[in-house]
Amino acid sequence: MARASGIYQEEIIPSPMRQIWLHFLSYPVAVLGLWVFIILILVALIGPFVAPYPPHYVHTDALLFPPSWHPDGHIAYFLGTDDLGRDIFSNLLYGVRTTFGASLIVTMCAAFFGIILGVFSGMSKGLKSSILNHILDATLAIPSLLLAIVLVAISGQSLTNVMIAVGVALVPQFMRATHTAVHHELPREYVVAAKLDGANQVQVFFHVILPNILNALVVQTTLAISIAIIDIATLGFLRIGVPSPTSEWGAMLADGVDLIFIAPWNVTIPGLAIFVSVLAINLVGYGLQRAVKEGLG
Amino acid sequence: MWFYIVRRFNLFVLTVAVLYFLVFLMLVALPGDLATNISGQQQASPAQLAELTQTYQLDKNWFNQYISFINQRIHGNFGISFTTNQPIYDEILKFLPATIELCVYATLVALIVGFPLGMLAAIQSQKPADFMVLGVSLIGYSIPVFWLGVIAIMYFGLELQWLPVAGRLNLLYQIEPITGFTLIDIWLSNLEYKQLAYRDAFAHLVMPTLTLAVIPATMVMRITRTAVREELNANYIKASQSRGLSPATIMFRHALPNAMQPIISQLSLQLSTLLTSAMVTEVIFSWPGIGNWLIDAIYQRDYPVISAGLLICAGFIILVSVLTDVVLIATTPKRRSAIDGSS
Amino acid sequence: MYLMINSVKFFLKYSILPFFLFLAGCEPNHMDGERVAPGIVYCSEGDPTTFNPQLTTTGTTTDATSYQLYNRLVEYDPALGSIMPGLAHHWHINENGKIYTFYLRKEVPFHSNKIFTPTRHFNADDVLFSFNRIIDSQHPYNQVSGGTYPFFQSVGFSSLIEKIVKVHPHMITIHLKEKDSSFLANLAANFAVILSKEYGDQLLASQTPAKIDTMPIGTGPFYLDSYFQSNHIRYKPNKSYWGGAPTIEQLVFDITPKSTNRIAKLLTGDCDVSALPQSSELEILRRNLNLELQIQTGFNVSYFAFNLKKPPFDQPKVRQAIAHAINKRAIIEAVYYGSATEADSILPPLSWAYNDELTQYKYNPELSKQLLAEVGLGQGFEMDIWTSPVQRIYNPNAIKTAELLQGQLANIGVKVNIISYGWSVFLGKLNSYEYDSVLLGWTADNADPDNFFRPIFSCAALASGSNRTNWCSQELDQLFTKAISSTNQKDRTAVYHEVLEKLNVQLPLIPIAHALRFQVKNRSITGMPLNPYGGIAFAKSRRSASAGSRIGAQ
Repeated sequence: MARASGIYQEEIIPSPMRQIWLHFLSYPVAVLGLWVFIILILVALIGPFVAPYPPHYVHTDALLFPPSWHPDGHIAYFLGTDDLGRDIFSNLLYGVRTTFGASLIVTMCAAFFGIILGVFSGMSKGLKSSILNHILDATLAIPSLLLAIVLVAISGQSLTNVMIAVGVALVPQFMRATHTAVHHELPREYVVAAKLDGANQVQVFFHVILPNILNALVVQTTLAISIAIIDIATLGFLRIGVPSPTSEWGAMLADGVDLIFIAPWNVTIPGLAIFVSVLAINLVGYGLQRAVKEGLG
Repeated sequence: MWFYIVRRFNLFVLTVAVLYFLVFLMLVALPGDLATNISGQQQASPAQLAELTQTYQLDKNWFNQYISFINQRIHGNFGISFTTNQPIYDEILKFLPATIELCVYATLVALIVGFPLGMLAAIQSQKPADFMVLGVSLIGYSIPVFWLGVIAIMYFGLELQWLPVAGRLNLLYQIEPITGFTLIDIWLSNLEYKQLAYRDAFAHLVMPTLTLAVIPATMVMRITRTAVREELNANYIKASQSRGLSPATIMFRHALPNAMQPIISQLSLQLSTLLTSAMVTEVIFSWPGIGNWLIDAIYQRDYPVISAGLLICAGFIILVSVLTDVVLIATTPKRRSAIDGSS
Repeated sequence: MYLMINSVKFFLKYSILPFFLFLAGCEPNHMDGERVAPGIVYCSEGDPTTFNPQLTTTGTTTDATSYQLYNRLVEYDPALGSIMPGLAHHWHINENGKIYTFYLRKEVPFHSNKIFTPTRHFNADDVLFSFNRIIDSQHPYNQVSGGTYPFFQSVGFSSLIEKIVKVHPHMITIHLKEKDSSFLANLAANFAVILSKEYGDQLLASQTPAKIDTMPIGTGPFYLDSYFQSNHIRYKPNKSYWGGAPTIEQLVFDITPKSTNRIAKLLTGDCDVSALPQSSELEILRRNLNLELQIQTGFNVSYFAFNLKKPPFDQPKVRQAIAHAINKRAIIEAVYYGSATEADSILPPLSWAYNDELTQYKYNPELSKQLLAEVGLGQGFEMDIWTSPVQRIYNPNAIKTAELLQGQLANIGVKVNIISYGWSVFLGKLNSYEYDSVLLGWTADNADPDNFFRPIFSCAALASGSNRTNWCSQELDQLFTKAISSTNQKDRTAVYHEVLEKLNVQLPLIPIAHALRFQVKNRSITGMPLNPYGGIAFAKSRRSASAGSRIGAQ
């Protein structure tokens, strides 16, 4: 992977991170996914300032307007309105925060705890490891969505509870990924070498193992974000997620189902939003996975 | 080999014990009395309460309670439902076949579609067909099941009116639920219009099955693609190619059997995704299965049912993963050392 | 490699092709399909809570039971607006209006089921059994299945009836303590069904009395074949029904809580008749030539009731302030799509006791804020609105109504939390009166205005749980009694006007709308007039042969 530049025959070998990045850039779809991802983050930050209306403002004279490109549509309501005359576009923009933003935060928190726990279980041996493993197996056997549903049922419906529930349900997956990655690296020669050099557990982990499992963790994180989005939206769709006044894509879709005969755009648009954001993240994840594999292999 | 199987069985028992403990903790944490939540008896009379205390050892410490909880559940006593006051065990038997039916058909469809496409992608690695398959699988994997289901209803059910959108069978066909699987029950029934009933049952199956099959199909595709590609790159394949074996022989006699191992073990891990999507699919298509029952229980705050549903779903997933492990261990010596080395 | 690809293509062709053939095989081709059995599928909106309407006031339960499984002594004919013979072929009332004599029909058989085969026909013992269960607290069945009879408690049945006497096997007299002009109408209500005493005795002997309400035995046109909770109820015709056996071979209630699903099933032919189409869907239904939409002015009201024991709703000014903040017009547009009229009192304008001179609470947020400021709540407050989770005749979408109220009340600084549970949990929780306010409604069973007052406002109704305001006044109770003790419509009108005025000032609940009543059915189904007082009856329904062979597909 040497590259020549300048007049002189000079070999510059990019750092591993840079190599991954360069590989990543060579997949146009992955880059597209990344752009969508960045735009979504931007919208999550500034959405409320650019939204034309407050999300729950009821336009009593604009019930069920179709999207603006439809002959009956109105440009003032870009994506149309729902049965209460609420602007779908504004709701969608606010929803970026609850559905997409919340899943980012949730994934970060879940990653933090999951990785720490995974490292502990991965680095430990014998009985301790065995016990941790069984707990992990049992929690992993409960589908994450089901776990989230039950947690919401226990703690009550609110955005915070939904986030906690989805996050808690994601932790075992992070644990498993970390555990496997650590376990995979531990018997490697270079780890043994570091140990023979007298490095203690902490040093072995931070200086030897962590750099090598980082990639696996990044891939797992992108996967987890897409799971979190789908989980939050599914909870919303089943009406056991974020309570009604908050804009949330899944709940918007569920509301739209009641209007499926007269206003199908209430179903298509929020669904499309979920689909696009999940797809973007999966594309980024796929690009990263490929890049890591080729960049390091 | 028996050593590994016994060992895996031990793991299974322990994992199930942990699962039971988690569910037990949940019942304690849920609002309301433990006695009510665990048994489903609301407004129990003093006599009933005494009996419950006896059965679940509620006067003893938490460990005894936990043990008797496991004991009751293993013997099929799941308590009664808050909403219907029927034994939950009977309800499970009533709803489970529908879910199994849906999942089995969806898995079949997923395998039939995903497997050849995955193979195609592996053979055509880095060619247009590969990218097509990859693209399709990425897209399929990103579509939320509920959206797909609703769109399908909108188009095929309401717009074109080709397919029914809810339920398992037109209710005018009175089929006694003997096995709980509609198609078998129709076969067993002495209905005059069997042919029509079959057709109706099929029509009702199409949309839920296909909706549910999308995600597993994409997974089968990706897993098959990766596994077969790895096998095709192996040296023994190159050796057999140089020996002049026909591509078909190489594919079906050598590469595929070896690729099956990782495919099966990875697919068994995807079971929980399948079950989750099945729950949502059931809700959308009003399919009277476990998922619909469970979601309804959540709306009704029916805690005994929720706990039973959790136990059944998670227990099933654990069971399947253990069974596939055992089968794989029994058939491949290579895996034994891998299992041994892992923990 | 080329060969390999070819072989794979070959493989693909033969593995995928059968799959598509399989799919094609299950494409329904309904056009040539014959209907299995000439039965009718009705898409109902929910599970019945019991199979005995005596125990409830919910419309879903009475729809599934009263007219299908049972009969009453007398029946109400909505077309004529008068009382018709039922199990009593005729009756008379003595001069002081206190003794009712009923002559009972002979040769009326009861249903049989797995555990019970009747040995005798219907007679006076069954009537005594059915009513004594309600009024006699010593009756062995009184406490079975909860022991509450909300409708009968709200109209004061047990205090009204002095005794019921069996004169001979086919004649009974009912002695009232005082005159009650609504008594006959109450006997014709959905809830006043006749059960079998013989069945009751047998169940009592086998110590399973509760089965009387879960495995029903009645005299009605259909008997219960099977019930699969949250899925369907299957009825079979009672071939020896005294009123003429139904022509359909089976009746199935397909329990479909979501309105969209009901319409979808109607379009795809899984259902023939559907309950409560949403007003938003009416246009679709009108456009479909296979379907027929029936419309009726409904005798119902949807209301927003306060819990008067919970501050600040104990102050009339707060309630009035909220009334001024509600834009009923907007609710009717958005929730009912215009298929309702604004309610300015609990009584629909169609009723003869309607008072059109009430002061109306005009939509006026400014006035509302001013009223709140007067009681020291100018800074606003927080409140809960409980909403029923299922669609009702009087309110197609209570959650949406609550969301609108949420927006409207926010304008006067009141923050609203919307609370909703599953239907049965919701009903259970209502009885503990934990709510601040609740969106509910009432569908009248008959044209007597009393049906709108005592079940909703009387002290007796408070005890039985159909009075959701958690408030009752002796003064009103006396007026109610005064109104029913007279048979003169003019006198009664005067009393009801007074009642309405008092209610309008006190405002324990804010009436919102009187909804039109809809029913959709396949054109091939006939013999199902729409009843303005709720309740659906399939006894005379039939499927016409010509259109019967098509399952929806166009």
